[in-house]
Amino acid sequence: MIQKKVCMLGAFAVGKTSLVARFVSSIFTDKYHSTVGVKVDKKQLRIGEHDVNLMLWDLAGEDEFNKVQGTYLRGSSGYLLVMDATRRATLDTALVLHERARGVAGSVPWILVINKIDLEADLDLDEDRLSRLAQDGWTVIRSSAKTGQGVEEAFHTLAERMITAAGA
Amino acid sequence: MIDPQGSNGRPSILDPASRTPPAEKAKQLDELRNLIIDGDFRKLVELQKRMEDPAQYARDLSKVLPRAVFLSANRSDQLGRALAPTVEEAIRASVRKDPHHLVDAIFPVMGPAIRKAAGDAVGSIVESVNASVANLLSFRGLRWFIEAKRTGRTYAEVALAHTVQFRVEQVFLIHRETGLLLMHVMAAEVAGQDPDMISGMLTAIQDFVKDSFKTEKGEGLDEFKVGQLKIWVERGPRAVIAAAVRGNAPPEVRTMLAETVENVHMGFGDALASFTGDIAPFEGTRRYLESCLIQQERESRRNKFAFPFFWIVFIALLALLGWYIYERIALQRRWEQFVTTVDRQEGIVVTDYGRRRNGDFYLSGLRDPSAEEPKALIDQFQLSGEIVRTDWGIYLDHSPAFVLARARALLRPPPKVVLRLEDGRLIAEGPASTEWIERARILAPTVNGVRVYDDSGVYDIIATEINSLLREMESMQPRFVFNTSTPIPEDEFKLEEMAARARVIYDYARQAGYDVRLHIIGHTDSTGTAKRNAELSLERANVLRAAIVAAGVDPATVTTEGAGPNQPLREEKTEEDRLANRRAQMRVTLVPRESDHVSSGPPARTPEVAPR
Repeated sequence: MIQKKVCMLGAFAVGKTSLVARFVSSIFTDKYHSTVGVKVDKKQLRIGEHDVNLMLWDLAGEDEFNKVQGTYLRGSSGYLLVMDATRRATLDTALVLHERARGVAGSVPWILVINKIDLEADLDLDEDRLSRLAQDGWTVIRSSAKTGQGVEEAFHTLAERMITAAGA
Repeated sequence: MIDPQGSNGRPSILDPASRTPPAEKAKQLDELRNLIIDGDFRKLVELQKRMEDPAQYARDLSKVLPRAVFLSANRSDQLGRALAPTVEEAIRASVRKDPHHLVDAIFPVMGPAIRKAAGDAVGSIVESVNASVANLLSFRGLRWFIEAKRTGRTYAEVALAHTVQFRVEQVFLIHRETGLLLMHVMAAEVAGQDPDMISGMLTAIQDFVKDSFKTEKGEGLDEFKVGQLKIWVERGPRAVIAAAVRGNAPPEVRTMLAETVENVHMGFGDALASFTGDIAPFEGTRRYLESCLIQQERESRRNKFAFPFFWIVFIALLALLGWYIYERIALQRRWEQFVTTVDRQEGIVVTDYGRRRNGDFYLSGLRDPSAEEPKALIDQFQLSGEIVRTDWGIYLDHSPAFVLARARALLRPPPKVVLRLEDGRLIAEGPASTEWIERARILAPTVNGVRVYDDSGVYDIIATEINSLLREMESMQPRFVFNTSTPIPEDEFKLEEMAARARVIYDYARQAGYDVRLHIIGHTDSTGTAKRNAELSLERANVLRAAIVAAGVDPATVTTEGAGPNQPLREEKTEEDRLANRRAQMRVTLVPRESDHVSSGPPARTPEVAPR
């Protein structure tokens, strides 16, 4: 059994919690976000021949993240950077968070998730920047917590990366 | 040593002023010096070079330094003193740089050292508390005290062990940095949520507290509490133990958790340091964690089986004791009531009473012989199980009842005679026999308590009543038909008359204290055979007897006799004479009743209340 701590990072209201909710069945209510600023959920995966427990730390928005100064990031084996497909500015936040995460957790696998991709009419994405990031080796997955598109893929991909990175 | 002058004053070959010029001398000297010390000189130069080259000198020194330090340390503490400031500065620098290294290094020894010091300090406090607590001699306290003595533990320890009830329900071993669960154990019958998530949230909450409130490094949430449930957190440098404890666990449990953290660090330090998510290496921590799953059950629950037995015996003993005391008091009260009642009885005066050491009751005083011996009261007051010894002196009670009782016992008056006492005057009234009247006149004045005997109300029943009846009855001699036992018609009434009188005589006689004896004699005339006349006379006597017995007279008191023609009433000259002789007659004897004459018996025990 392998345990991995994974952080959900992203600006306010990009749908981090919804992604986690889509992915796991939680024992904790969403109230935890407003009380302790974080909610921890678990998802068991089978990656190759390994049983992996993903412990998903869902932080409460960017503002909260600034306050907690990244303590929650410590010990993370990977993180999902979540942005909102209808707000291009959320990519900036994601990039700032990415830098902070690298500072605290070191060089661990991450994935950029563009959430709310189902809202086609309202899409507001800077595709140029995105393609540049892809060229830089970033993994970008488009998802919708509403339809479920890309959700499993995002978590699985990250889990595989983490297993590979750990050499397990 | 070289002496340039020589000890004898002769010039030396080295003397520069003796033979050669100065320049030549210097050259010669150099040559000579080269000849003598050429090899050594090169070595000296080389040595100087080595010492002047820091790298080389350090290399050389490093070869001997450990040994030098070792030797120096053995010789004196100078080196230690000299190095102390440097070492201290080094430690300070190390801590400034990253305290974790030092914490890692000394963590396993720090806990025990601190606990030992704290334990010693607390121990002395506990001992002083022991003394005061020991004074609380409740029943329970006494039991604990005994247990402490028996087991060699301190009183406080025993008291704590008995009063504390708790259960360590779950123990989490959490990787400190990632908040990932390394091991989790749970007590039986405990329902728990997913420990992985709890572990994550515990860590998140720890972080939250640390970030939200300014805490010192190394500090954090040590405990949080919800009702009876506490989460105790013990932190090590790399792992944290969190225990869910229900109830009031003693501080020793906390210490145990701290020791467990230390043991985990000791045994799994490397695994903790290199942890990347694989929890398999931590399977070995299970036994450490499981040893923390302890519980102390409520004493009453543990004594579930001892409880009823103990209390039943206790209550039974208590009840027995209560019953015994109650019985003692009740017995004493009954005894006193008995004595009071006896004392109130007429004819008895209690002068002393009590209980002897052997448990016997005793009662002494004076008793009139007519008074009732208080044996009956012993039963009435339920003292029959006790030994009651009585000691009575005899005295004569002068109260009317006792005087009357004595008089009655002595005089034995006939049934219709009433005795009463008025102010020392014994008055008798009613019918009595002549004998009794005479006897009473003699005896009555001798009765203790009787001043005067007045029998003016007594009359002689024989003289007044019985004698006339007797005469009437004896004069009635019914006559019989010739050669039969049938009364002649004109005399038939006599049989009834005689029977009626007989009954009255019996009544009077009884009242006067007499028994009556009737003797009936049958007669015939002189005609006929003697044999026939004997039969016939007896038949006639029996006919009269039958009539009298039929009237209710006791047959045993009636005898008959056939006299034949032997006692003729008249000389038989005419048939009328013969008729007169064919008769039955009755003789009455009054016998003073046997008992009335026996006056020397013991006095009657029960004083009768004299009829008024």
